[in-house]
Amino acid sequence: MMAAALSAGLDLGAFSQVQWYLVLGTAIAVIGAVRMLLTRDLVARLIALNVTGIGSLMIILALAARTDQSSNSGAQATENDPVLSALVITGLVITVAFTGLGAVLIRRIEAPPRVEPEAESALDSIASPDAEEDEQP
Amino acid sequence: MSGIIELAGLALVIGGALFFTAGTLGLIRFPDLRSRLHALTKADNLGLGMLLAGISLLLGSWTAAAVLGLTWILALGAASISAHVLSGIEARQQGEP
Amino acid sequence: MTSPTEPALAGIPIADVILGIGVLASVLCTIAPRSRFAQSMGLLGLGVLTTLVWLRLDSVDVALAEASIGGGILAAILVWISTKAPSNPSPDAAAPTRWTWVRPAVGTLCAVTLTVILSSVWLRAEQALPAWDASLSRNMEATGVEHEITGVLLVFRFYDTLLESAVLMLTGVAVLALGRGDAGARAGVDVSFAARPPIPSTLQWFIRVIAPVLFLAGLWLLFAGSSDSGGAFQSGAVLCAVLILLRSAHIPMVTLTRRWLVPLLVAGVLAFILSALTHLSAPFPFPVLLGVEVLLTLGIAAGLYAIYLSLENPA
Repeated sequence: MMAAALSAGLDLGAFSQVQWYLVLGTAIAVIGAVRMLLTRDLVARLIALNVTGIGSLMIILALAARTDQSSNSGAQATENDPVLSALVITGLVITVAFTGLGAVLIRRIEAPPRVEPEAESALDSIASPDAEEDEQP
Repeated sequence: MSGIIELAGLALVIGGALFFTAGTLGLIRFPDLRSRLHALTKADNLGLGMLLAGISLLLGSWTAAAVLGLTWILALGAASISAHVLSGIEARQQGEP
Repeated sequence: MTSPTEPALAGIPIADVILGIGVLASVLCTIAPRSRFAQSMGLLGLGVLTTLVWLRLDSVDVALAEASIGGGILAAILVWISTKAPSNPSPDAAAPTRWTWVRPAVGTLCAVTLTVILSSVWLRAEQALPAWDASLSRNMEATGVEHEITGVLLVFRFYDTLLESAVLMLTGVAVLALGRGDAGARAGVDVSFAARPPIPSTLQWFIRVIAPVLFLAGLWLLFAGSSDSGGAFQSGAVLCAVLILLRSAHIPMVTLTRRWLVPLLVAGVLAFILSALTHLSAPFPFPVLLGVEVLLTLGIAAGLYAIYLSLENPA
């Protein structure tokens, strides 16, 4: 009964490579998002957000590969869609940026608090701002 | 002639994959760091060399073979230097001179 | 792409089916474990398999970016956080022990339902070609570069590139602000070498030999982006890798980090904004484009290196 409901809902027939990667990307993004919302560990949330990002990029790149399918019969093979590929490259760089910032933030949140030396250095910087400015080249 | 070259290329690629599998198995199953480094540096790099040789045979161009050979030498250097550093750090942690 | 002679299963090539099953398995290996170390290693394995997926979808640029950025600096971040912050016991273990099956069951049910609904949307939707295809190829000669993705990144959609470089710049500023160095104008980048284990001299020799080769490869990626796969982001990631290697060989780079890191971080974005404001009516001429791209690459390398430096700073 479940299989009948699944096949009726999914409208199974002959797939193509693009549709396979679309469904795969959707599954990965949904798995990552559900995991991110249900866990309490901060690093697990960060890693699940990364997995969601990979899934969404796979959806975009599968859409970028669409142009190949329809022009298969022609003599000239067109490349992937460059606009969507540029968006995916942008997405990859932003992924590493937020992962790095998240890792540093997690380390600061979970680190044992340092009380004494930090108060001194903050007071030092407030007490003598002019001396420090003179020392900089 | 080209059939023999293709066959040799395929055999090298499959052999390289087998060596990589053996190296990964050694990484999982060996007991301590030194023997795992043996598996990583020897089996994996030999597998990489066979894989790259097979790929350059299948591609059939000397330029590609030269570039892939340079890649293999760089990977060899990186693997051996990393293994040296890792075993040195572990030796220091365990208190050996 | 998929030739008609490839073996296929219901229209999907067998290679894609196997790769897809492998990707799903690595996703499950990433999100299922409790320990942070296993999750990080699972994400690294997922990164390798997604590089293969990008290659299967015929995109060498994206595969290069994923391998260099995702496999390089992301691997450093994940390894650092899984070894420095092992976190026992895991916070999920604080859940009440009687109903431990509720959370995974709810998660699995939601995931399956959402996947089925969204997949049916994808499979029933009419596939149409994008409307920007023809006008893109027609206007490529006006950009001065031959590679379409570089043309899109630098000319047609340069607003996206500007904002992305600004995001990386703001991330660099944020991680430098979170550092616990000495108080003062250069707080956050002053990390001493004394706390690290001594390294063998072979490592220093090897890195001094290898670093120019890698630097050349990074520069080549930048200039090859105009006619082939490559570009500013892949080149910036390789240059950041060169900086990380030099730092791990304990080569002193105090002048670089103290004086040049923050200016390089902002130079790309500023140059982009200035040249856009002065060229409001026409596309950039080629020298201006080249200069902006070089500064963007250096900014990306500086941003990723600032993230790497700040990893060690709060520790």
